[in-house]
Amino acid sequence: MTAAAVAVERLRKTFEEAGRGTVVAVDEVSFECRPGEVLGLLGVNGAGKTTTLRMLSTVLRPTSGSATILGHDLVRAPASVRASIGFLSASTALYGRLTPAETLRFFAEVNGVPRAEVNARVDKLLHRFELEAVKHTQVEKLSSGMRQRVSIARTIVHDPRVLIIDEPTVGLDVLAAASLLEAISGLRDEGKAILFSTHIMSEAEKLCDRIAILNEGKILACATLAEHRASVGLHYLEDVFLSYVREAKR
Amino acid sequence: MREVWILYVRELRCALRERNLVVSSLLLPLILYPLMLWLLSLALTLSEGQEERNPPRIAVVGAIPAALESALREDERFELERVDTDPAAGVGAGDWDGAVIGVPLEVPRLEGDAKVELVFDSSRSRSASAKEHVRARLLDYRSERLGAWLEARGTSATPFEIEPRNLATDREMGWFIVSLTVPATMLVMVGLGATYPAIDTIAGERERSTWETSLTLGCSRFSLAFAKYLYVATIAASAGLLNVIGITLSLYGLASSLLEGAGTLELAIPWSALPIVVICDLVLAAMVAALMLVPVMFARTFREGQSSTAPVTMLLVLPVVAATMPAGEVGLAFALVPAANVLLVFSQVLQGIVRPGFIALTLVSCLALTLAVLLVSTAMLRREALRMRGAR
Repeated sequence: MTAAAVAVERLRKTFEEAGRGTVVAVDEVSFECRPGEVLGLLGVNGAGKTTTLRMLSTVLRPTSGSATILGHDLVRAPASVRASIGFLSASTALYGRLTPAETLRFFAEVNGVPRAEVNARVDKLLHRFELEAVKHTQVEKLSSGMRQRVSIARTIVHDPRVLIIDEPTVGLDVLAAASLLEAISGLRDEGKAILFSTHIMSEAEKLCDRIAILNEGKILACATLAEHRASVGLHYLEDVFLSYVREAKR
Repeated sequence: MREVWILYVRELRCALRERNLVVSSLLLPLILYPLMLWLLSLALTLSEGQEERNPPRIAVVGAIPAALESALREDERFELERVDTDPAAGVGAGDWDGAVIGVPLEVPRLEGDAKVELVFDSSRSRSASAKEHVRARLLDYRSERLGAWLEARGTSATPFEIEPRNLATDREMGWFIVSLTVPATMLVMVGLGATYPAIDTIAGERERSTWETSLTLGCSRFSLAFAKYLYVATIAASAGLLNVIGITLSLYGLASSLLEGAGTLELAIPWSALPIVVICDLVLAAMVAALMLVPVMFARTFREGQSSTAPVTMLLVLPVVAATMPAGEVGLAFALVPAANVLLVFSQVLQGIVRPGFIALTLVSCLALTLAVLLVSTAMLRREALRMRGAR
């Protein structure tokens, strides 16, 4: 079996909130993601998906537990972790005053792409995501679909082996969302390990090789869709999801 | 350092495309003082023209010596009108801008002796101005009368004479005036220049959801913080220098015509002082940029950022007093007072006073403060609660 690109072991995150005391956002979750695999984190809002991915992208520091990405420890080597991943979420917007070409160049350079390769890499991605016509237009003047294409392009411009993608289709129309999911599927085929969080069942069904069901900070189950169906005896993912959540509440 | 450079260039590129930032941090420092002085000059010219076309009206009542009335009528700065009504009521109602009331003396001490009351309304600028003109003319008349009386008796008109002798050259006088104004305005403009970029680079990014994008870049937190700091310092230093250029041009072109008797003064920064001007600007910008970034760390939105930087901006006005202190008499301890020490060095150099010990202590203390504040900023960035302020 291929070695895991992402290995998460009993990761936990708590916050101190005024009036609520200690809030457990992520409660000792463990999972692995291998190259060429899309691992879906499926859960309702507040289930702990975004917090988990923020820890893996080093934006948040875990309260306890451990995780490595391509062998780099989250806490001991955060800069190496950041350089090894491509992170895309609704809260990682583009710099609106840069053009797509400048955006890609900036992300390539800051993520350590050798200078000699930057131009070729940028041109290739502008072509791949059909952004050549708008490459000198400031990002803030582009449509949301175009912007999302630039976002995907900037996430992979340094050719990371691990992608962390948090609810990327939020706010996109059907066509733009479908196009984005196709792009992510293509990246999986290139051998990238992809952590993909969503609360949309159909996205998880279409895209994910394995699905981890999160509820109130805990992973209730992590398996392929077929294994989940067999486990609970239901067909539709929505029913499967509800079954796990209701079982956990009993 | 390449990492810092890449981040710095990105910050600068985005900033120079932001119209508000360019206007508030770069254009305003350059044009504010020339514009203010031009408007002041325009207002004075208009006011003078208005007064020439429509001089103040002075009412004359009662018995005043004919020679005095004649002297007053010759003065073109006001118009004289003899009236029979109550002059005080007329001045109060605004019918006249002033009144001269002749009050007969019971026992005249000299030939043509008289007592004159000057009525005016100091709450009206036109009346206050008319009073000054009339009073000056009355004093001249009195001196002439006294001189003529003494001369008729074969004696000197003045018991002693005063002859002022200014040892400063026109150039030195000009530099003195420049030393009172330029350092203080430079500090204010450095503060103004740093405010917008400091807010924009942290609170603005949080508001635009690019803060988390920056936090997930493949670089160290130190590089990120240092690049942001360098960017704010660059804009602040540019604002300071542009302001010096703007104010120098204003002083050179306009101020000499506004300052009475300043026609021959050389109101410009001496070329020899330029290196120290640049150094002072850089030191101030480095310090102010670091100070501005600390409160902005707490801001979740641009508006919160504006509120959080307001106290720093107000604090920056305090050291401005330092620029007016006597250059040679300030003790070495003042070199430890941030910002005020830089203004004093700037002011001293403009007046041709170079105190190496004071300058060295100023640089060391400013550098120490800047580094300390930068360390605080970096430590704050490492604190998750502050780093993720406003995160959804």
